[in-house]
Amino acid sequence: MANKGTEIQIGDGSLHIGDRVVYPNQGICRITGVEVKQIAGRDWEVVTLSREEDGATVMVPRAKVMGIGLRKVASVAAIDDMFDQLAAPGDDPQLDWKVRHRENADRMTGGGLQGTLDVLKGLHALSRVRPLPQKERELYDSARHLLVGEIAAAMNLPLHVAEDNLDYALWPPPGMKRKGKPLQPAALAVPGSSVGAARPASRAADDEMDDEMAFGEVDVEGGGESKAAQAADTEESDIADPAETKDLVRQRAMRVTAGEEEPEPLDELAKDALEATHEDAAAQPSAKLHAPPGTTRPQAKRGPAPAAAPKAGPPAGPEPKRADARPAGGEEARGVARSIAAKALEVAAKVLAPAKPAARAPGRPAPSKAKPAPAKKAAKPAAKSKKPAAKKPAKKAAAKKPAKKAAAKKPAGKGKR
Amino acid sequence: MIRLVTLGEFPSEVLEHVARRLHAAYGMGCEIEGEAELPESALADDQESYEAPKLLEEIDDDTQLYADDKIVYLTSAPLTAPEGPMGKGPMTGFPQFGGGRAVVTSHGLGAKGELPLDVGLAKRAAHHVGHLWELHHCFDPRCAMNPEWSPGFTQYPEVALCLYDREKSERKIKLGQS
Repeated sequence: MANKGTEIQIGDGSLHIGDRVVYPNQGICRITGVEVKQIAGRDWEVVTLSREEDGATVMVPRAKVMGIGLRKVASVAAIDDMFDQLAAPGDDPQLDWKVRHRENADRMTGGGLQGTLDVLKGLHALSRVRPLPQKERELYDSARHLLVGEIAAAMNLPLHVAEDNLDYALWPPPGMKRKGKPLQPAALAVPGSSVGAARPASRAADDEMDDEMAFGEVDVEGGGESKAAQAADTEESDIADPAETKDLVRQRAMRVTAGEEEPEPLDELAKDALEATHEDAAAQPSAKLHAPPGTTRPQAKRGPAPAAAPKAGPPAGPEPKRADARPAGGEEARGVARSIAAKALEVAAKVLAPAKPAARAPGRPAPSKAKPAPAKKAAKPAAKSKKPAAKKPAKKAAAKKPAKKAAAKKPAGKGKR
Repeated sequence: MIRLVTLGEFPSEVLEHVARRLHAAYGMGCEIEGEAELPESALADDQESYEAPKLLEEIDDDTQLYADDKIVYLTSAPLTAPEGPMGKGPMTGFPQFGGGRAVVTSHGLGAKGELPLDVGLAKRAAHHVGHLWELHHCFDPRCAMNPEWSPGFTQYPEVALCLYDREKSERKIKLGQS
């Protein structure tokens, strides 16, 4: 069955039995022969390979040898060139995970030395910025494993020496040189934050934003990794001790918050609006509608908030409108609304005069018979109606509410009791 | 089981510390096996350091290796390894990648800017045992598989593996046992 002999040519003629080859995504193999195997009633001519790492046998149809990317182990010159590229400062990592994933998958399937190198270098650069998700961590390890195997095979070095040399280029120790040029020693990078990253924090934050934009734009295909899943992966790639992990995640979150979510400086208009809001809120304890989301304390107790901490404040956009609308026409509208409401309440009081005071709901303020009292009560709806900050709605609200109340209370108060 | 064999004298508390740390890092037993002698034939040309690959081949030691056993030789002598395309770099040990034996040196520990002897030796040993389980270098500075010369290695003296490396080593250990 087996045709063995060094003269047999495989693929485009460059491969022979006994050659060491690189099988994409599998590693270094040695061609052991060409055999004819009967599979599903058909005779297939297959090339048998033995994986050097564990001795596993791989069979590839002879016609598909070149199609799957089987190639000879790289030459020493190619490896040397690869080290030049490794030692050279790299580009910024691709932050759009979809693009990155597609490119890396293509490179790994291609099985070329350059492709594997690009995957390793790209993911290494990314790991200096933020921790890799589980899948990419596996890909990083796989690319590293393939490269180490190929370096060792090409240069006839022990695997450990090959890996050390790979990392002398990626993480240069102090005093390391490449072809006479001193390399910059590796700096301490803290995964999970941009602290200590190769790029400035502001740049990283910008890119994060770009990344999120890209998520929003292309995340319609489905089946993609969500941001939450990425965050979960991120947390997983930490130190394994659960107690320690909790602390580290918390610390990292704090670092990220401190480093990346720094408040941007406000423009003048937004500052004025914020100040106006806080002054107004301090003067008016009941204005809970203006409380920013998530606040538990009433605005009045806070006092004027510092302008440098707008994070918990309301968005800068809609606020100026409210602040602008109030001081000019607000007082006038309030006066008109008060007088209308007072008149309406006077009418209502006359109508309701025979009603028993004991019929009022408990807990409400005691009714006063004097005339100024209804005016005080009338201030409440007037104050509420001023919030829309427009004249017309205030008038309407003030005019309609007491009339309705009077109409509704009449039968309830008198007819049934 | 990880078996520690000394190639020279080490304080017993240092050895115990190393054994405890290795046990904690890999979740498998670790015992101090005994002593052996450095093979003279492994001496490098400078007659001061030892060629690590040769040392592992020629060491006269009758410690038995079973399914998932690993032997770690501890020495204070400086080691060398074949020079690669990047030239000579720092050398803290040499493992047979994916194999059963590794040699770790304490040379340089305790000096200025380096870890103390017990902590440093434990971390170096954990790193090279990781290579025996086919773990590659890791970019996490807190992980014991971070390159020995990187700032993270001395910055984080605790012997811990990142989750990825821990899971990978556990898989390999299970396979080794089977």
